[in-house]
Amino acid sequence: MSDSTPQRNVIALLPEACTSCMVCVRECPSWCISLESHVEAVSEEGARRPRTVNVLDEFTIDYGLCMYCGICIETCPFDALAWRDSFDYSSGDRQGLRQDAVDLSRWWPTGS
Amino acid sequence: MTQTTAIIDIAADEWVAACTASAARGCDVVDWLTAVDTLESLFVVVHVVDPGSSRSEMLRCELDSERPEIESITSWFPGADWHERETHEMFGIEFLGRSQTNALLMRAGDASSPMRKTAALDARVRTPWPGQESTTGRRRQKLPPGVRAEWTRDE
Repeated sequence: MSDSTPQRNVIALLPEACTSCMVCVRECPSWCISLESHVEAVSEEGARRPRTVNVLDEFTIDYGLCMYCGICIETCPFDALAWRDSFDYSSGDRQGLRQDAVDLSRWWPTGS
Repeated sequence: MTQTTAIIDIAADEWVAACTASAARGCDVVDWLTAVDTLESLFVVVHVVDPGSSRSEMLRCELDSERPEIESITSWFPGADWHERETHEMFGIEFLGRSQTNALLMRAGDASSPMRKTAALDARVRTPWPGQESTTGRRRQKLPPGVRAEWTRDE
């Protein structure tokens, strides 16, 4: 493995890139991702009618269930998920292994 | 280094003879033994290696999926013991001619053979699928992938 390839240590989320398409949630073999979203109408200048966009409300990965297969990262059509090298997120209880969008987006800038 | 090992298909009544013939050719250590369920057929597969040259042979035998049974090879390959017990519990295959051993991985008396394709995955049926919700407004997918309709029929 080359130095530029991140190890399978943690999955980082870029919430701005996520369109709530649910592809990762459905492809996950261990059902460890949950996603909630709502639809908003965005009116743009010059557009005849407002555009509807999905707005991400909640994105959670349960690392107690995740098997680090990386299928969510592979299937994401918008590259909103990526591997990162941090691994220091152990927890003494099951709930502590559930990382929400804020937790997951915190991994993003740590680089590969 | 991984090498591709050709699969040799063996008839059920020649299973022991074929395995001992492999041993005679030098492949006398069982690397692993397991079963493969393709829904259409059920196979038992054994991978035997020659520890000296790392040469290996893969033997496969198709079984009757209704009443799967095959001769045990533990008398010739003691290393197959654990694998035969595991395969017996996971796939419900009867290995003939070996001393009966109590349950290894499953609860005693549980004959559900969870690795068979026909075994319903209870947890998958009972757990709410996170992918159920639709954000695109299209028709909802009724069942998650990997969950068959016949598993939920009796609920």
